[in-house]
Amino acid sequence: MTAASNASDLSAYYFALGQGIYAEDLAELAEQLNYSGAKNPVYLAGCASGDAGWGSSTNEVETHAVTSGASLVTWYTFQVDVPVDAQDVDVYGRMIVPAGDVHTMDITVGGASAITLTFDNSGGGAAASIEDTGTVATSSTGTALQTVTIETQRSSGSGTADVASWYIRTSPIADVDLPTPTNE
Amino acid sequence: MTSFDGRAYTGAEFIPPALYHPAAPAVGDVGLQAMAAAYMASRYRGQLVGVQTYPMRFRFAAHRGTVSSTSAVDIAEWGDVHLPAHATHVGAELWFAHAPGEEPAEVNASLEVYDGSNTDTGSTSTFTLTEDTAEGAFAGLYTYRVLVEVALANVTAPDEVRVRLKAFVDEPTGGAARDLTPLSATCWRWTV
Repeated sequence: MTAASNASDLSAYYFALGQGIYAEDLAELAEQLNYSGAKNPVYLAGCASGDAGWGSSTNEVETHAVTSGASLVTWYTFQVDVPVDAQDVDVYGRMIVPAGDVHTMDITVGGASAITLTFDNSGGGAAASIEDTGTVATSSTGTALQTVTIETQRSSGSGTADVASWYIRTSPIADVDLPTPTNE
Repeated sequence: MTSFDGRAYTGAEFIPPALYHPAAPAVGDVGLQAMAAAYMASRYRGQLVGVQTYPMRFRFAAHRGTVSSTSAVDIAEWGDVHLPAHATHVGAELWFAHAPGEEPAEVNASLEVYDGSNTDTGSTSTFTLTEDTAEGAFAGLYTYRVLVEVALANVTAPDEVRVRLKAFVDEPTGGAARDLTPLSATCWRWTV
């Protein structure tokens, strides 16, 4: 059974002590509660690396993740707690890609197949900051504590790209998909 | 905007113990109030939008800021940020530093929220950099904190938006342009 979600308005009179309260009122408020929770996705993890160019060649003051090979290199591995009521996990990545190159970022959450984000600057005339997004269902990732792995590689071209940033969050839950609480 | 009656309920109201005493004839009241409190907790739960750090080692002679211009420079940007229907504000905290004796006169920061067609912008009032306004000193650098927030008015939530943090420096009168070194930026969204 799917729980209902609703953004309707309730009268403030419902909250007066002693006011007649009907089952419909409680149901409507429960729907309000479901709505506010389902539409408030949770930030799970994120990281920002830097662009190249900080400091000087003899005094490098910047560390950053780069990708310059044609095979996947693992940059980050960690665990996140995927909420049990989440339906989907959204991922976001940004890379600074040299002209003519295509680089990819594979984000694997739990037991799901990797989500491949593609940063295509093959037609560009200069290095560009490119972003991409992806989504994976929690029915594939699993919920509770899950391992996340982030890998990058160059899929075409000859340059070196910088991993600028990435993050993972839960996705807002569509009304029709709001799950029944696990204790029901 | 999701609300019970168009008003903002900003407090979790105290539930009188008499209502949930065994056999108390107020099951409906306590149920409703408990759910109202839960709704409040969910609705007013802020969420992190993102964090930007600027990895570097402190070196007095080699520190290199990205903020030295009198026009706004992008400091951080977060894309595909979901704003729930009840979100009303987005804010950011920017930490930055400069070396003693290299004070730029003032710094200005702004935050933009853009949904593809509408933009909301918030700006700091000009922040004057002095030893008095520094929040700390670390490794030969004075460190400062600037807060900037946007009250959402044009961007229509729920929506996926882009949040961009910018800053620029006003040069000291008669002085040379100085760099600011950003250390970190943190962005949140919340409801009031």
